[in-house]
Amino acid sequence: MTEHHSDAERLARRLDQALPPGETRVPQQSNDPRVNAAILLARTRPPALSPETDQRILGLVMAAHRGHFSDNGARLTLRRRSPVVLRGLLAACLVVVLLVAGLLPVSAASVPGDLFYPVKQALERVELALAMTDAAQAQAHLRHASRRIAEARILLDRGQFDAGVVNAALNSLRVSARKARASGDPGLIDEVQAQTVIVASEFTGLLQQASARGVSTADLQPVAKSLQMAVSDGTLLLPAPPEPTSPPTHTPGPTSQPQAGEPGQQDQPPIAAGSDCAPGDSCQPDSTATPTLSPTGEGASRQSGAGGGADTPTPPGQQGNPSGNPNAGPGNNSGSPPGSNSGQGNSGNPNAGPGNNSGSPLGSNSGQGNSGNPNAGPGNNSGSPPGSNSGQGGGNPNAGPGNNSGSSPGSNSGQGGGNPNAGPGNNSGSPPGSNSGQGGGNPNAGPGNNSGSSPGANSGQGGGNPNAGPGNNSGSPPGSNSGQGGGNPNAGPGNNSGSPPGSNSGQGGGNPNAGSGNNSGLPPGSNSGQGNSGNPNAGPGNNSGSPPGSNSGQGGGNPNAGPGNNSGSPPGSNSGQGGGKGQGGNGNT
Amino acid sequence: MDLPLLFAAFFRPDELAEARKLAEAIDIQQLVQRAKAGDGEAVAILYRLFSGAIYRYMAFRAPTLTDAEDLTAEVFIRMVEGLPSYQVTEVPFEAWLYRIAAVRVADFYRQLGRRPETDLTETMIDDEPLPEEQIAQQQAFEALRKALHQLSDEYQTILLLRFVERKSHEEVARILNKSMTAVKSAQHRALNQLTTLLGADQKIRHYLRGRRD
Repeated sequence: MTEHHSDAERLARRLDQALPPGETRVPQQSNDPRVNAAILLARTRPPALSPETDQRILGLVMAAHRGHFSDNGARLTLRRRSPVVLRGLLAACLVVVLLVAGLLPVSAASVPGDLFYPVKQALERVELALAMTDAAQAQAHLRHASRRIAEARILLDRGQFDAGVVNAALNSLRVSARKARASGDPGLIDEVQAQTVIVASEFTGLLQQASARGVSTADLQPVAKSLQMAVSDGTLLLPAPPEPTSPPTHTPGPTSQPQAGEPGQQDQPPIAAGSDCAPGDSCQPDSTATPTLSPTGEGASRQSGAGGGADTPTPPGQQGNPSGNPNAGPGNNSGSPPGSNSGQGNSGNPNAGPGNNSGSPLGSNSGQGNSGNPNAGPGNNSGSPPGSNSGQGGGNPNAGPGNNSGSSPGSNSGQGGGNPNAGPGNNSGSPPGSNSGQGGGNPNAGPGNNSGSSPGANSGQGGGNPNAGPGNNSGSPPGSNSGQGGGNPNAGPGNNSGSPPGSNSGQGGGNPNAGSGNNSGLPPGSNSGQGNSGNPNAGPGNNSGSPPGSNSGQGGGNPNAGPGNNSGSPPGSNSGQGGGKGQGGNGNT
Repeated sequence: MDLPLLFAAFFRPDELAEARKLAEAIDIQQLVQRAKAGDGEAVAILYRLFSGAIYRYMAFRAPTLTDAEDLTAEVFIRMVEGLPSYQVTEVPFEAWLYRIAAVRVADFYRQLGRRPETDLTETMIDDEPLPEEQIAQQQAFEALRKALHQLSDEYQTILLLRFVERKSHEEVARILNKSMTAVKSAQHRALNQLTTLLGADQKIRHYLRGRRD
């Protein structure tokens, strides 16, 4: 026994060494066959859950949840304990339920044309009649919408496409949205939103499937149109997409296509020390705030940023949403083929669902949302490929989590050269080339590994990851970076590195408001402008200010840095406010 | 609403590593409390956070992948049903889910009446031809699963938690409500058995010997 114990202990140690808990690294082989068996286990991955199945299971779970917490007002009360008075009522209900349940298995699977379909319809009417509150009715209509889609799917499997059923689904969604709004219950509205997203994506999936099975476009188009209408006119309860910085449609701007170097709307006030002001929302040009300091790099390349594209005059040919998959559902969506695409949403998959979405291929793309997947869901989203891209949405501005790559090499201008509001994951900003305008990197990207734009000339707001969440954030690489956000101005905790050597100017060359972690300011080079070379308001951690070189403007060091090891800027020519530690916390001297 | 929470709701199973990291940052207990109170969003987030791990567990333990999917759904439905009576303790929430999962698997096999021989063709549900590499991967998975199924329920759970999920001895001990020594001892026996079972497989035997070609 003792021998077994010591052997078990030895093996445990050996295993911890070969396969450290919490890590994903798997070694090649060991000379202990038992360790090898463990390595084999660690190395073998079962096939992953497909997104469709995952979504289906989530649907089941949420349905169970709804069943369990069926009415917002009466949450849990039935489950926990039933007052005696309610007992009789419950018993009566039970009888009805049992009767109904007897029919359900037969009728539930029925589709229009089946013998039991009228029973199903009748039951649904009963269901609605029993739903006393707006909330309960909203839920019931949601369930019905989901059922209609399921019926349409069964019919499709039988080789029929029934537009009536699909429209009924849409109608149920509409009613559900109306009831949810009427209820005024924010919790319910949230839930209906979440469910509507699921049903809507099932809807689009169905349409894709129908199209793949050879249902004619003439049959599909009216249905797709009404879905699109319902989505765009706001009758459906859908979560608002992350607010794109200054929607182009509201931006009175130049009527010419944006070009690098052109003065644009990114002339926003630099982020004041300690301000919460995030590039892309309250700091927009319409903000009444006045600049407190003029970035010296301002003139370099203030760019036609957000909205540049939408102001592109509609060139001959395509306008509206002609050539991509504007509201495509999950799956592999590829944008329009090579060519010259212009206008809104014309060549990518602006609101595509999860999956592999690729923007439009080679060509010259301009206008809003034109070359990437602006609001794409999670998944592998790749922005537009090489070519000249301008206007909003060269990358995946509001893409969900996943591997998002910004636009490929080329000249990218306007808002969204990268993945401005991308969710967590590996987000890479735009690759080498000349990137200008807002969003050369991943300005508001979520946590994860975010890399700013690649070498090249980056200008305008967002050469790095201005408001990136926690994780490893690297600012823009060597090159000439100017404008706001060469680094990770408001990055969350993690390893944040400002922009590397090169000429950096404008606001935010370092990590001005970075959270705690290892924050390094800019490396040697010529740095100027506000917050450009250190970590002015960095949180606790190891903060290093800018290295030798010529630093000017505000924020050469870590003026308001929290506790930790803070080093100010080293020898060199440092001028302006904040050459050293400023009001630094409890740092080492 | 907390942004990271929103992000978490959109994770897919293959993004679990990211989700995990995020899960550490988010307050699971707070999510559980919200879910207990009937917050649908919190339920969805909990599903997103843990569905990958539970599915992986089920994929190894169930006879077919379709069963694994069904069992995964059942675990989370049980979660929804059990949440109102769930008591927050120092034991991680995840442990509760794994316990539900282990019980579900046991019930499943009990209902089946026997421990089925894993049928390779049955699990290959894909209709499209797979690339060679994927076939090899699937075969390795099948072989391993077949061997695992010869072990006791507890041994399977320990090995999966330790080496597929890369949990520490301590974490496994907490999930299974056992002492560290007991876990190490069971791990030792389980690996010995697995090594013997795998040794019967020609290709794997070669690997287990630990020599490079």
